[in-house]
This record gives sequence, structure tokens and C-alpha cells, in this order.
Amino acid sequence: MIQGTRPSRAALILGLLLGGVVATSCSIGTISDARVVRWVEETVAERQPPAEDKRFDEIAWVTDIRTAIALGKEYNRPIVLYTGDGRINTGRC
Amino acid sequence: MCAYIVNEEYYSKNGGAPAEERAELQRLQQEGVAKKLDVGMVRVWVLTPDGHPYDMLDGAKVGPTLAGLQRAVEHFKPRPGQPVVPPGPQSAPPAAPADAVTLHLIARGNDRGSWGEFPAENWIVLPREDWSKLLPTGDVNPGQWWELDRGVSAKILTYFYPQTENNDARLDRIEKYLLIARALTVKDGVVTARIDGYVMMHHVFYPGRKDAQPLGAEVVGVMTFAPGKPPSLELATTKAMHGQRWFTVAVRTVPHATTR
Repeated sequence: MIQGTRPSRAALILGLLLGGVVATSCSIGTISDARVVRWVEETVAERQPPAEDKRFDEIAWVTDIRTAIALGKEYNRPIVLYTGDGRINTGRC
Repeated sequence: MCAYIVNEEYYSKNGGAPAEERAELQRLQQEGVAKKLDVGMVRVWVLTPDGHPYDMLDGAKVGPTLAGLQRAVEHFKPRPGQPVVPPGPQSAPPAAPADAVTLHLIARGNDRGSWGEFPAENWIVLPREDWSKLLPTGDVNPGQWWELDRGVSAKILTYFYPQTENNDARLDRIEKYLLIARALTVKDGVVTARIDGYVMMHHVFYPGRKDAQPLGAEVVGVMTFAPGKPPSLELATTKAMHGQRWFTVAVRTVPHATTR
């Protein structure tokens, strides 16, 4: 692990290594030390999914076929079964 | 009664679905073909209460899906009532050792409709042997900087991509990356450090394709820790682009259920 005591060196390393897409409009250092804790806290909070993005969770799901059929039989309810690529529950699909 | 399954768990040799589950899916497909339903991989099935194919809905369109559900209600006449299992969060942190650090990542590009309207999530578990590498050795003083362990950094940054149909997050697609911490304050033994860094890689939008597009993201964050204790980490992109798509990422430390 590289360690040091001169903060400017960290920025220098970043500046030297950045390239391509990001480096054309580099924003490193635009958030001051005085603002960074609050900025990160607020930005991370703002980016959490709002309730309307999580309406999927309002549906009572089971995640395997045999449980669905067992409950369908027990409660005499038809079954909606989604078969999908990836993980619809995390949006990585 | 609603259910969803992950095809990869059922079709892949390494998938986690047990043989009995795979057999059930195969049975449904065979019965569906016999019933002349439009059987395929990504589908919305309606099954009878005893588990036989009844209908296949066009799940990509709201109108036909609702019409199909209405047809099923009229046919089966289910008795209204409470759900038979309680609804709850479908994306939840995995159980992890008590001393692990669990990170929740939210990625979002807002330029697509349909499934692209919803954010993507990842849960990243850092066991003690990982998170301990994020901390500097010895006493920490304000102004001191250190590079976060590259292996652990890569485990986090590899998920810095927007919603794409391909979700192969293998580490070897990362080309350049760096996360550097710098201590801002040390108070009562608790260090607050800012994080600056970036990641550059090529990421494919569609699975199996070779037309990977360049991806670059700048990252700012804060890490708080007491020496030897699990850190709390928050990260956010300041700028991030995949191909021509802008996107954002946020990462934060969350509690998790313990495995022991």
C-alpha cells in the first residue's frame, strides 16, 4: 500500500493517470475538503431509489416454482410466473 | 400468487436451482408447447392453481399484460384476500460474517425507458481480510494519504456501470483505476478521510457481444474508521459515462444479517 503525507501527490497521481472519456472534463478536486463530507452524504442519499422505483416490492413474490405451486394449490389461486434473464429484483437484468 | 425465477439459475450448469426446480421448469415448457403457447426464456406465464400452463402474457407491454391478468381472474375467479406470503424488499443484503462490511451500490442511467427507468443494485461484501486492507497501518494524522488496496478497490469499482443487459462484472475488463484516501480529521481516535479516484474499463451492453464500449467514472467519497475497526464507506460518482450514456453511482455501508 502506498502511503504518504503530501496530499498534493495524490492529486498529481490522479491527474497523471486519468485519460480518455473522463479526463476530457476532469472534475477531480472540485469538491473542497470543507464540503466533501456533506456533499458525499447528500449525494448518496439523493441517489437512493425513491418509493416509486420499488413498487416491485409491494407484490408478494416467491422465488421458486415448487413453492408457488404448493401455495397455489393450498389457497386455490392461479399463479403468475415470470421467467427472466438476470436478476429483476436488483435491476441487473 | 406471484413468482419470479432467474433463468441463469435454472439453465446454467453452475446455476443454483436444484434438480427438482429445473425439472419443474422443463415440465412447464413441455406442457406449454403441447398447449401451443409461445414458450420461451423470458416470459410471463399464467399457471393454474395446481401448476399447469394456462396462458402466456406479453410482459413487455402494460396493456396486454393487464388484459391477460384480467382474463385469468375472470376464468379462475380467485377469492379476494391478503397475499399468501408477506410482500417485502426483494433486494436485500446477503448474510455475511458479523465483522464484514456490506456495501450497497445503486447505479442509474436515465436515458432509457422500460427496465432502464429503474436503478440497478449490487451488494458487495468485504470480509475482514478485505476491509482491513483499506486502512493504513500505524497512527494516522490529518493530511496523511494512502492508496486503497487495489484488489479491494477493484471489487467495488467493477460494479460502476449503468443498467445494461450484460451483467458480467469480471475484473479483467477494468483497465485503469485508483482510489486514494486522505485523512481530513482525527478525533477521539476516529479518522475521517476523503476518497478520490476513478475507474476506466470497457463494458459490453448485451451479453455475448464483443462491442464493449468505453466506460469512465470519477469517484469521490468519505471513509470513517477507528483503527482496526470496520470502516464506514460512502462513494459517489462526480462524472460517469458508458459509451454515450451518462450515469451515476452511489455506494454506502449498510447493516447486514450475520451468518454466525
